[in-house]
Amino acid sequence: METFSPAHGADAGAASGVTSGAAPGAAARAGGGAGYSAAALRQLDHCNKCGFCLPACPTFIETGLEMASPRGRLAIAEEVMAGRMPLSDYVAQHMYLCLGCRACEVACPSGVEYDRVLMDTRHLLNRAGIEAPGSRGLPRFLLNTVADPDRLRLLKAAVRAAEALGLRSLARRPAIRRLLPARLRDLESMLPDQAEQVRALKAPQTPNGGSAAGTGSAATAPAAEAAAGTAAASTPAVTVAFFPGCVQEALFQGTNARTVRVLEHFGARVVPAPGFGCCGALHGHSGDLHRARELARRNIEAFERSGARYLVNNAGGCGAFLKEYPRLFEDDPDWLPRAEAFAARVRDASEMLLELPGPPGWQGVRPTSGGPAAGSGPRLVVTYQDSCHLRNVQRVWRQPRDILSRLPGVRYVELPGADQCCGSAGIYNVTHPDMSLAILDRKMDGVKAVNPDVIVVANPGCQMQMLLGVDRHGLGGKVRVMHLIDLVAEQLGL
Amino acid sequence: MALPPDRLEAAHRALVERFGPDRVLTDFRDRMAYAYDATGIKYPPDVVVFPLSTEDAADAVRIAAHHGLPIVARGGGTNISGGTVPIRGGLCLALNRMDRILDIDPENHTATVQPGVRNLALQEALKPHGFFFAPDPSSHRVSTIGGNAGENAGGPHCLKYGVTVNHVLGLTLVLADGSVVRLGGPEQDRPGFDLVSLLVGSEGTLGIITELVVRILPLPAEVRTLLAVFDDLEVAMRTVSDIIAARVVPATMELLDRGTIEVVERFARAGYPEDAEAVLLIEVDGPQESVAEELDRVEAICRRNGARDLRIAQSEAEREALWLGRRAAYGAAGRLSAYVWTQDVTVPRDRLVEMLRACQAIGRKYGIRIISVAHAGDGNLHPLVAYDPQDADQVRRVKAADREILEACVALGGSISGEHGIGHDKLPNLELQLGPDLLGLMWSVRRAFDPDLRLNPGKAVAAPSRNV
Amino acid sequence: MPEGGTTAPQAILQPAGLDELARLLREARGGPGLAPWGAGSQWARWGRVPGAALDLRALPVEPRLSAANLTVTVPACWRLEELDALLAPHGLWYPIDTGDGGAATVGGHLAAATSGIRRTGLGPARDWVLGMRAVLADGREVRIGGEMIKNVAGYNLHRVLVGSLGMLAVLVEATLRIAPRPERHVTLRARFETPAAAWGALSPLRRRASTLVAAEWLRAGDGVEVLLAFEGPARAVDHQAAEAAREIRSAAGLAVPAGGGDGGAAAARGGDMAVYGGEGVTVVEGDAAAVLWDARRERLLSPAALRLRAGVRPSDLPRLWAAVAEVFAGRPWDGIARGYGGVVEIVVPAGGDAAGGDSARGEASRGAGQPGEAAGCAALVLDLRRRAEALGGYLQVRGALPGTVEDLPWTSASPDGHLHRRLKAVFDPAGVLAGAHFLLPEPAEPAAAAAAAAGAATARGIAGEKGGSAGGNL
Repeated sequence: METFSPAHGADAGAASGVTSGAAPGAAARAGGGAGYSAAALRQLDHCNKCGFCLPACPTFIETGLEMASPRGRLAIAEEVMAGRMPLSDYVAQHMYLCLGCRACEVACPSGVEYDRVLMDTRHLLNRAGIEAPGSRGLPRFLLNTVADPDRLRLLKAAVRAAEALGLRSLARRPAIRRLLPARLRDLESMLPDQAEQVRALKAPQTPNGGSAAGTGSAATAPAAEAAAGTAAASTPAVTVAFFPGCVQEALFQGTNARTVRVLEHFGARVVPAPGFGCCGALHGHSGDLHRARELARRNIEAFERSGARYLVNNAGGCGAFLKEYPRLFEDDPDWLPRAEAFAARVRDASEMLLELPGPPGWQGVRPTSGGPAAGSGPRLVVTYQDSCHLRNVQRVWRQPRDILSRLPGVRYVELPGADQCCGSAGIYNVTHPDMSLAILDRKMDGVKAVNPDVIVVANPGCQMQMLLGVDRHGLGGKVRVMHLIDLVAEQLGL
Repeated sequence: MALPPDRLEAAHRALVERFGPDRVLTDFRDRMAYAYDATGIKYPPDVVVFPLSTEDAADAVRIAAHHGLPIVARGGGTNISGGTVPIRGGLCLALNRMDRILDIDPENHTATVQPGVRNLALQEALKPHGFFFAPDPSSHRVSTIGGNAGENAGGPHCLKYGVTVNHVLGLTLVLADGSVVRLGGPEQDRPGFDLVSLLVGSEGTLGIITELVVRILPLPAEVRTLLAVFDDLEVAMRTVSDIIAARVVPATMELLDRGTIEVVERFARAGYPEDAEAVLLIEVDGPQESVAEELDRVEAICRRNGARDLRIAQSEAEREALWLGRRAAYGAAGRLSAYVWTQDVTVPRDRLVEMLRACQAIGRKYGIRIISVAHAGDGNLHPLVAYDPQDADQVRRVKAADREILEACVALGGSISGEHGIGHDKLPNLELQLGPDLLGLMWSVRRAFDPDLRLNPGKAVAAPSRNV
Repeated sequence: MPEGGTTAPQAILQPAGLDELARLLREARGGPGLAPWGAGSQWARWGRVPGAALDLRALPVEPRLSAANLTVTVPACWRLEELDALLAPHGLWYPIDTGDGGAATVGGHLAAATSGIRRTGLGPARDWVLGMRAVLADGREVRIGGEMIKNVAGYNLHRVLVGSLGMLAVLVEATLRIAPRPERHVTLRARFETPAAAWGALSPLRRRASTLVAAEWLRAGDGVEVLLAFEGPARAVDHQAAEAAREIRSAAGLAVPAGGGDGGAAAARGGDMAVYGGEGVTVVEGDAAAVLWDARRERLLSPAALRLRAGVRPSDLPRLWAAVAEVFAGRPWDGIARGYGGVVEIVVPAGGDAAGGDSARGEASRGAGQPGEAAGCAALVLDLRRRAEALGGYLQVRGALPGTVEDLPWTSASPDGHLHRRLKAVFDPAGVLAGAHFLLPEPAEPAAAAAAAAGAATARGIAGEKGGSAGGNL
């Protein structure tokens, strides 16, 4: 057992009744800051330890442990900064138990940007050669894969092949499932239905008949113009580039293709924009800021080349990271302005749709919640799971609900605790399967209470996690998990 | 003060034996997470235990007593007077996992809860039954019912509904020796002294609360919210008095002064006019038949007194919008400097203007920016002082100003704490208000319950100096 | 100076100043014990008289009304009717009705924590106390609390002194919250054939009726008569009283008259007693309401050989009531209960019949009566106590003529009794303030309490002590 140093009992102002000893960031700054950025040190200054973040934190809710709360993790960082606690597996264990959902930032009355401290600490751990728990093997493979277009293509092919060989249905058989390692078993459940995704690529409404993303094939200008014409022929169409993402493009090409189609249907002109790669979020969150910056520069350049007004994406996690590119370049005067200009143009698909004119009649539709809308017929009961980074970082939560409430044939019902993380959190479900599943099971209790036909999501990680949840809780065949855009496309017949 | 390592070692062993390793924290890094609350000081406990039941808590207390460990109960850790900081080390009883609502009894208007139930969780559980729990401190999302009772917490709705002590009917208590007693209960007028009132607000110094029976109230049929903007602070305060004189008892009357409005607008953009001297946020609630009438009366008084703008929320969203500025005040003030000190004084409500003016004068005298929010209907003022703890000169001036604020408050017949508690922070100033005789009496009460002074030492009530 | 059934204390000490009070208290050390004495109304009900009483009327204490703060600071020796006379011209009042028509003093009221009929709507008396000035048993004067509404500095000792029965300190001044006098008062009277029917009909009312401040049950043969008081803004009171009347009638299976609702209460306003709807439910205000409440008070204060108070969880009131009826079957008794409070005051008359009994009302005379049929009630009281405790409640003797309950403790020993004793020792280590010590529970181990509940009356009850609590270090 390590003994405690009495020097901790710092108590500057108690004798007079004024509490002091706060502002650890300032204190740490005076002592060098242990490698933390000035921005991170400032965050600690502004944390008043009020604890408002605790009930917003999924890992605190699960464990009831202060160390597993944002305030607790900031306190650990505070000790590291002050040089009282060495970087160690202990620090890594707690920094990586965090889902990075950033719900705490929304709950914080003092506007503390927790993520800056988390990212800095993970970066310092990474630099010190301290590995994230559970990061060997599969997660490392994933990180390397998503950053590399060639490997990504291989993954895509492998997924298709597995599908074609019927491995998926094989793996579902209970006897075989039991033989699979737990992580693989769950991964299997999380894969989307590839046949459905491929069908989307072949949908007749798609003029360019393939994934519209910039990795290779792009929407052709005539097609985009034709699509834009359906909505607002008189006004010049807003030009947008589409950011396909890595996981999204590997597993949800259909969703990507539909996103382009829906954007066009709503009046945008989608311009070709080759050269986008992984956004770098997974690397940044894993402490590899170097690789994250590399990927960021590539994407900024690709967008600048496209000449589009907006950059639209449909993965909440990617979009959040794209919008925060400036944070990666705070010490880089050359790239900071470019990153800021870039970030200002990034839009989530749901945000973009509401900024566009929309198809004929769309503007007149008033959002309804549960009530009968114009046009009857069978109604889908639809609920929505927020993407943490879409909600907590991009602060986009109203728009998806707004769209769902206006969608014909849909009855929108709010999911209890929709604003809480589903436990997917990038590769968290792979690195921390137990915690991830505990959080997911709590989430599924809410789903069962709503009893929806469709769970709508806005991020591939969430989509896979909710697929797993549906499977785990025996809801397969009863509850569909769909990306918001896929449901929009389906309901609008696109 | 520090325990010899072998005693500590023995206490750890006994606790791990009783609770298992998963419910006992001994690693100093883990203990550092229990070294603080929202006050800003840090002292780690020697060991943390997570009781799940009254029996668990009693056993932990007994083991701690046997090994001579101080005992500090902790709920949400949101205290802002240092009440949950283990300044003498010892055992931290982390009660946040005792978070079960044991019973909601709409017929008897009571709920029975474990102490770790969060205030908001109780509110949410009561809502479907059509009830609420009246105390609503600003920390209600995080703070626990046990903590609310320990601190006798208030909140913006005290004006009409009172503070926590008015809503606690019964307690299950672990005493300093580990014995368990039940005090009070849902039955009214139980014989004997009112020990429940004694325990509520005792800040964990007389016993550990492990179960509570609380009074719950039917949700009001209607709530209306109004924001009144004033060009003169005194007029705003007179409006508060006039409303009370007009037989209207609003659920809440919150006041923000000019400095607070500026800060709130800068950081939260709540839409309050920045050049106003004061805004009043007033809420009336009750049956439909009377609420509209009361709102009319409030509105008429505000207009008669020259409010330059009145905004009445027409929807829940508008109500939220009006509250935004008030709710953001504390956090926004936190953006002003590295640290914000929240003072908490009460005076008879007709002296509140004097208290506000005194704070402004003291701020000028010491060159410190003091902004204020007030539960104006209760005479409860929160001067907020943003400062940098690294600036020694500023700290010195803040301390001097703080003492003067408390002296001014006592001179006006007030209390040096309206709802935040005495804790560790205000203990040196307690005698200023109580005088040596009353403080001595309280100290004797404490020793009668806890002769070894094991429960939350260094907090809430101290031995009188005798030479004041 | 033993306590007994006489009407006046053997010695009444009237200090002319706080200094003299302090000196008296110091000189009383080792003596038989003093008791603060106000109007004597509580002592009369208890059927006891302190050996030596402290009369505080000569103390120089001035009232201070702060209408803008809605507080008043008054001498403890003031009668509540005097306080009301101070407040009424300002349209204000101290709304706690102690149940004796304002005769009690502020000090006596607070020492006994008489919360009165409005406890249902306005909370217990201690919720209305913000501060007090008291002289401790060693003669030191302390000011506890103050005129501020919120105060968490130190322990809530002023709340503890409310209900401390004159055993902890001598209260000389109290700061009370006051309120605007309500715009309207309406009383609703209803009769139910059984207590269970009363609870069934009344229980749901309280949720919506925010102006329902009092709900008293009075024994009416096998059934109960209920008085409900609605107070507050006129529109809300009228509406809620009318709604309540309608709900009670519909719960009782009575026909609801056409055009009910507010019309009923409006009609009631015309005369001083108008009947709302059919039989069984009446809505009245003004003098007619006062008559009903006066009658209730008469019954509560009527001469008794034995007074008991039992309290249970409010929803158990019908069961408790049934237990009372069973235990006292064949004897005269009256019951007056706080409907939503689960507390019933049981009055066993001295000599005559009980007011709520089946037989005609007896000619009860005021003053000390004879035990009469109440003699030898100890076994009945014990039986009822057992039943109340089985419901999780309590039963306390609140007054007994000599011989009625023998040496039965007035209050059951309680597992938290040692804490009461410790508190007493802190405030009054020399045992100067005897107060109404016979109402304080003795310590009991949990097991002993269970044994007591099982009928093993112990002889160590304080009511059995002779000569008060001489040096009574409880």
